[in-house]
Parts: sequence; C-alpha cells; structure tokens
Amino acid sequence: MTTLSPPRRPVHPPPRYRRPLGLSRESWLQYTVLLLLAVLVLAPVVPTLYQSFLDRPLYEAGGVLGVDNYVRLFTEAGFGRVVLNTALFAGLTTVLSLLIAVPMAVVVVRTKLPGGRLFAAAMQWPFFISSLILGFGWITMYGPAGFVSVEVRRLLGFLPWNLYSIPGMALTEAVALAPIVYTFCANALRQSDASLEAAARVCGAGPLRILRSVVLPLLRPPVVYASILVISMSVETLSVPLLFGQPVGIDVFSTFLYRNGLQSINPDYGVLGAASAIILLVTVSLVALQAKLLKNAQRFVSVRGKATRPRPLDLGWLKWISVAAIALYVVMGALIPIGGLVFRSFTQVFTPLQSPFKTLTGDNYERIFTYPVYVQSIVNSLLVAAIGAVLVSVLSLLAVMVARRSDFRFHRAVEYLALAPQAMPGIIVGIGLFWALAFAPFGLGSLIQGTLWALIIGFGLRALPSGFGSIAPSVMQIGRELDNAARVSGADWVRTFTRILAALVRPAFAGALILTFVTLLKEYSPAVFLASADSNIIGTTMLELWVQGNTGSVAALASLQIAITATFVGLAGLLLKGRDKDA
Amino acid sequence: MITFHPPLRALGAAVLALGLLTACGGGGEAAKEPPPNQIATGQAPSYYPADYSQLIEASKKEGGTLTIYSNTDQENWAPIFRDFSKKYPWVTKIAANNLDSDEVFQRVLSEQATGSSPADLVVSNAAQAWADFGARQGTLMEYASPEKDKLPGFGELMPHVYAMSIDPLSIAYNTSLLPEKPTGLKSLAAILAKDPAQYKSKITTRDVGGAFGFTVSHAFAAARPDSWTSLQSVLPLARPETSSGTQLEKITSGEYVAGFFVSAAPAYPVVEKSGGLLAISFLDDGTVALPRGIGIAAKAPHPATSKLFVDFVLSQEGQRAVAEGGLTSYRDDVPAAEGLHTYQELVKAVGQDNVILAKYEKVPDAEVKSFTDKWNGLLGR
Repeated sequence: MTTLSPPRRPVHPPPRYRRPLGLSRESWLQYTVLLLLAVLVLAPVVPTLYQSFLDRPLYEAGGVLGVDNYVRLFTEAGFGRVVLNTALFAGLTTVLSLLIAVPMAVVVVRTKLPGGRLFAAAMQWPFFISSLILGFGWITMYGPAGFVSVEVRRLLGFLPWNLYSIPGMALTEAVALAPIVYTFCANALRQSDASLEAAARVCGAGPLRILRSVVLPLLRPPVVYASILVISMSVETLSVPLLFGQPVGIDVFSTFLYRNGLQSINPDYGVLGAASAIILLVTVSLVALQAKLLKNAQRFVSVRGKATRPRPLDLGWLKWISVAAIALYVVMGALIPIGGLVFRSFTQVFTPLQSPFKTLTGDNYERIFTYPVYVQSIVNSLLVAAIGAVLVSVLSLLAVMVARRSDFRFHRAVEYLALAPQAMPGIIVGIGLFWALAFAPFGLGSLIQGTLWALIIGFGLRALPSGFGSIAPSVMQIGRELDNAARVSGADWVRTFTRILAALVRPAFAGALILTFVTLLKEYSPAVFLASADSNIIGTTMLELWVQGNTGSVAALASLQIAITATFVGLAGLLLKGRDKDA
Repeated sequence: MITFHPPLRALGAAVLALGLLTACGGGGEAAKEPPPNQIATGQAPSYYPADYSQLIEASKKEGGTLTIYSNTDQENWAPIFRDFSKKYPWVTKIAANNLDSDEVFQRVLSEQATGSSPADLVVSNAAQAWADFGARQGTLMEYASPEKDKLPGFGELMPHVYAMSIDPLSIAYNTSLLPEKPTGLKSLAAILAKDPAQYKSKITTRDVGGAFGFTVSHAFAAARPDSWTSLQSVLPLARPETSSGTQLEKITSGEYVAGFFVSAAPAYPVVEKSGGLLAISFLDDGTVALPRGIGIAAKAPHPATSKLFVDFVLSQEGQRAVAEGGLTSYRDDVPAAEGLHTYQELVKAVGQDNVILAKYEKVPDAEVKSFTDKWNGLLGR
C-alpha cells in the first residue's frame, strides 16, 4: 500500500538587511545622529571653556592655563553686579510672563469668553515678532520721549513708569515671552481630563472654585517648564538689555559679553571666556533642574483613554474683565509698539515734537532696496531660515526617533544633546562657533567661516530644541503597538519608520518647519560674531542701521520682517487647515 | 494650530507692496547734488612712479574683488566704490561690512592667527586699536603710497596707515528744546546752568568704556585741561551712549536735549532730513577731529587691488568721493560745496587753533583707567 504525503508548502525566508562592519543599519543611523549632535553642541562650548582658562586670546601663541580670568572677572570687571542685575531681570521677566499668560490661558481655554478663538490667535502674535523689533517699538512709544509717554505726562503731570530700568526691561521682555507660557498652559488645558472638574461640580463647587482648586493645580507642570524656559531666555537675550539698559548703565550677562567682546578699548577675551563659562553653567543648571522637576510630573498626568470633552465654565460678569485684560495686553504690548514702528518706517522724523505727517516719505524703504548689501541681508535671512528649517526639522525628527522610539543604548544622551542648545546663549554660540571654525582641522573652518553655512549652523543649533520640542510630543502620542506590528512582520527599525511612522508624524514635522523657520528668521545674536560682509542678515543689518542713526530704515526693515513672517505663517496656516479638512 | 486671520495678512501684504512700490517709484524730492566727480578711467596720476602700470596689470589678474573690514556705513562707502569701479572697471565687487570699531581688529587678528583672513583692507577710527594692531608683527602690509607727499602732514597716521578722512565731532541739539545754540562746551555748560534740574539725564555723550568714546574724550581733555570745569557741571546731567546713531535718534525724538562729541558724519544726513528739528555746531573751544585709518592687511588676498584702492581714496578723485559720501575729506585740492564736507571747512568754522587732531598712539593702561574712572565718576557711575 502506498501512502501519499501532502506537498510541502514553500516557506518565505525572513528579510535580510546589509550589516556593514557587523552593525545593523539602524545602529549606523543612531550612532551618526549621536555623533552629529555631539559635534554640533560641543563645538561652541569647548573653545569657550578653553579660552576661559587661557591668559591671552586664543589666537595668540604661547597661552598658559590658569584661573586668573575668573579671579579678575569678579574683582575688576564688576561681574558681581552683572549677576545681580541678570537675576533681577530674569526673575521679574518670569513673574510678569506668568502673571500675563497663565490667567489668560485659563480664561481663553476653559471659560466661555466672547471672541475666545480670536484671542487665542492674538495671544501668540508677540512670539512671531523679534524682541529686537519689539524693543525698538517700545522705545518709540513708551520710552522717555515716546508718543504714549508724552501724552501721559501731559495728562498726569508726571510719567509713572521708567522704561530704562530693570522693571521696564522685564515688562518688555515679558510681553515677548508670554506667548511661550501661554502655549504651554493652553495645550495642557486642552488635553486635561474633564472628569475631575465634573467631580468638583457634582460636589457643588462653583466656576471660580473649580478654577482655583482643580484647574490651576493641573497647570504646575507647564508652568514649571515654561518658567525655566523663560528664565533661560531672559538670561541670554541681548536686544532689550542692549537698547534699554546700556545707556543707563544696567549691565546684564548679554550686554556684558557684547561690551567686553566688541566695544571695549582692550577686549579681554579671558574675562569674556570666563563670563561665558559661568553663564553656560547657570543655564545648564536651569535645564537640569527643569528635567528633574518634570521627572516628578507623572502624578499630574490627566490624559486617560476615556477623556471627555471639557465643558467651558461660565464666569458671569468676570468675563468682560478678562476680555479687557487680554485686549490691553495685545494692544498695549504689541499692536501699539508695532504700529508705531510701521508708521516710523514711513517718516523721516518720528517725534511728538513735530507732526509725523510733515516728513512722510518712502525713502526708508528705498534705502533698503537701493543698497545691494541690505537687499542681500533679506535674501540671506530667507535662505538661512528656509535651509535651516529643513535641516533642523530633519535632524530633530531623527533625534526624536532615536531618543524616544528606539532601544539605542545612548538614547537619553541624544535627547540631552538635542535640548542642550536651549542652555546656550546666542552670543556664546556665536563666539564659540567663531573660535571653533577658526581652529577646525583640515582648514574646514575657513571654508565655512563668514559664509551663510556658519549662520545656518549657529542659528540651527539655537532652533534645534524648538524643533525637537515640537515633534517629540506628537511621536509620544503614537501607540507603540504600531511599531510592534511592523517588527512582528520582520521590519527593522528603519523600515518601521519609513513605512509607518513617517506618515503619522508628517503634521508634527510640518509644525516644526514653521516654528523653526520663524525662529531662524528672527534670530540674530550668533550672527553678531559669525556674519561677514557677505553674510549679513536682517538682524545684524538692523543693528548696523540703528548704530548709524538710520532708524527710519531700521523700522522699514523691521516692518518687512514682520510682513514676511505674517505672510509665511498665514500661508502655512491655510495649507495646514486645508490638510485637516482632507483628513 | 495657529490660525492667521486675513485682515492681518492683508496688512502684511499691503506693507510689503507699498514698500516695493515706493522703492521703485523713488519717492521723495531728489536732494540737491554737487557736480559729478571727474574720473580718469584706467590711468594713474602723472606724478605716480613709472612702474605703477605694473601694479595695475597685477590687479587685473586678481579677480576684480575686494573685502574691507570697516566700521563705515554703506552710505559713506557708496560714492567711493562707484568712482573706484569707474576708474578701474575690472573691480566689480567690493564687500565692506560695518562692524564696531574695535571688532574690525579682533576679527582680523583672530583670522590671521589661524592662517587665513579674507580681509584685504582694514578701515577704522579706533585709534587705540590701530596703535595696538600696528605694534604686532605680521598684521599690516608695508606700503608707501605715492600720494603721501600730496597729503597734509597728518595724512600718514602711523607707518603704513593713512587717513581716509578726518571726521569732526560736534555738538548736536534739538532746536525746539534747547533755547539757544550752543557754540562750544563752555557755551553748553552755561546754557545748562540756568536750569540744571530741567536738563537732568537730558544730555548725551559717548561712553568712554568704548574705544571711540575714550579716544575723543581723552583727546579733548588732554588738549583742553581747563575743560574739566565745564565737564564737572555737564557730565552729571549726561548719559553715555555707545554710538552716534543712537545719540542722534534720541536727540531728535526729544529724549535728549543735546549731545556733545557726536560724530558729524552720521549727523549730516539726519540734520538734513529733520526739517530743522536737529542741528549741529562745532565746538569753538576745541573740536576733536578723528582720522579714519586705512591700512592693507598682511597677506591680503588681493594685494595689488588693495594698493590701488588706498592710493585712490588718498587721491584728489578719491577724496572728492569721500566727501560726497558724508565723511570729511582733508586734501587741500578738494573744495567744499553743498553736500561736500572738508577739513578746511572745519578750520574755517572754528579756527586752526581749535582743531584737535586725535593721535594714533597707545595710551598706557594706567592712564586709561585714571581717565575713565574720573569721567565715569562725574557721570555718577
């Protein structure tokens, strides 16, 4: 008797990927990202630290290592007062930012507010305006001889504020930075679980009690996070302290560096390096503190699988007070200064002593478009912003994938490196990169020095934390089960990303492009050291024109930058809105 | 997601369109201009050495570009570049940045130390920094200009560094806020003495912590020791600024009533545009005139073209362009005219004895500290 066995079913072999030098391609990619981030982040830091211990400028031979620079910094250079001024300025800015933004986030997102949607958009506008421009505008309107100041002095007999003071500086900076706090708080509020409020309501709590007992405590994580971000941004900002503080002798970290590095009779690079090193220490400590505080933030997680849509609370008559407060912030903080600036761009003279209509002109714009070097600065800014945005967003995406979606041994280091530039003031990035490029091996630095690529690297480094911070939350919201399904089918880490996650993170990537473009367009402090005659940008050109007394042209250039930003954000908004509808 | 409302976008587009429109239209009445500068294309003055033509030929092989590190405004450079390109047509691209006066040197020194600097020429009026720069080995190219004998004695500031211009410092004041015209520091002090409380924080001067401010203030005080009497009453009312531009803007806006040691070069166009609101005067008790040094960097990438440029700005043709750009020329054969400012015009205004030429000499650190402490003490810092 013969028995027939069933035919053998063919078995498909598992997919095979090349393994150069025995490493999988995902390992290659992950190590490349780590090394790239490390080089970018350490490039400005190492020369700065080295300079801080040298007894002469880096470019002079025969330097001897020692700690004299630090001793001299605190004894002769008056750095102690600089530290105090900076602490006061940063502290006040943070407090004012929170006072402006936290209440507004609460009332806009969680209460019935007339025109809430409009306010939500308007609240974020100061973020898109460079604080250099905001500073110019505030001087024009609220400075000792500003239009608003002159009117108030006429009405009251005295001027109740002094813009050229630490509180004045802090208020201006707070107006520029409040949108950051607002965004963090608003996003947290939108994601929170409404059941906690419902429970409070069941117990008979009124709207105000719910806000005070339930909503505000839930805001502690974003408030802490935003506070530290605002502090570190205040510590490193140059514009407002330069415009407001320098004439009255208020020195903070940034103006100390600017003055000693660029304007001093005998620039002392050792003291400059020592001051930079100390500032880096402070800002790195702040970021470390932030990381530690957020580690305990798990107990505030309020997003659950069955979260319900929160019901807006009704404040009654208090809502009109809220409307007035928000309007006051937007109008007095941003619209009046910006309006004054735009008006300034169309006059020869802009002072309460003379009617602006007497000297109406288009000459300020003509000047911008007449000199090739100024047109070039606009083109350069657009190029740096566009190329930089793409590169930073790609690098951010890679960093997020390695840090948050891989089992790479050093994934935590990748995240720290990507966020580290947040702790690096723009001026220090500029000085440090300048030195790093000067001493780069193989003459590599001389190829980049003075070109747009130096700016793209310097600005890109500064924008990297924003890009990373923009993409990371979205990636974390994507369930791990999608990755696991791909792995079960035999895909490696790279294939999993290209086939599945790439499509899902596209909106976040687009958001990062927009955010980093705007950030790069308004960036300028690294360029103070990195720009050359061929790579001036809008920011450095504005400083040049201001120093030369061409304030009409400064206003024209500022207005153009605002127009470019507004156009770009508007178009991007339309595109994204269209995409949402399709989805 | 952020939404952007059409009205604001329309405003942005309108501003941009309006800017472009007015730029193309060249709006505004054209300022009265002096007669055009006559340029002899492609040839050097007859008194140049016979072998100068070899230098011209060498320049043609250098690619037609120059890079200048300077603290000079584009507006000042424009006529100079225009006429230089007219004279030597193969030079088609001259890039000049506008750095702070000391930054010019820090940049060059850093780059030279690492082996390569793109700077061909260095132009700055930071006298102390020039003295320090020139004292270092291998920073400047040795060059004796054939124009040297045609210049006044002070034309060569230090070996291989020449004066491109001699820019006077002025008193700038707001005509609607200051009751009478100040003609000098003593005059200003007398005006302010009538009501010191009203003028508190309303006067501006240059920050002596900066190179420019130190040089002009120190030169004035050294040449006029008795001026400390006036300074003792003026400085307590004053605030220091780090640039003439901010001084002028704030005097025009009314934040300051007046300022002294305001550079005249940026002031001329502001005065012209202010509709009478801003005016300047030179000091009858001592006007500091600060030379703007020009030198060729050692290892300049374009040495022959750099030499042509130096000789050009020192020549009659070049000095004429310098004056047109708003700086102050100093050759005797360049006459003053409307829109052209000359050193001779300054001498005529205040008298030769009242012109204080700032020297390009290193001031010892101890003297720097002593002076700045005294000055800042009176300021109340």
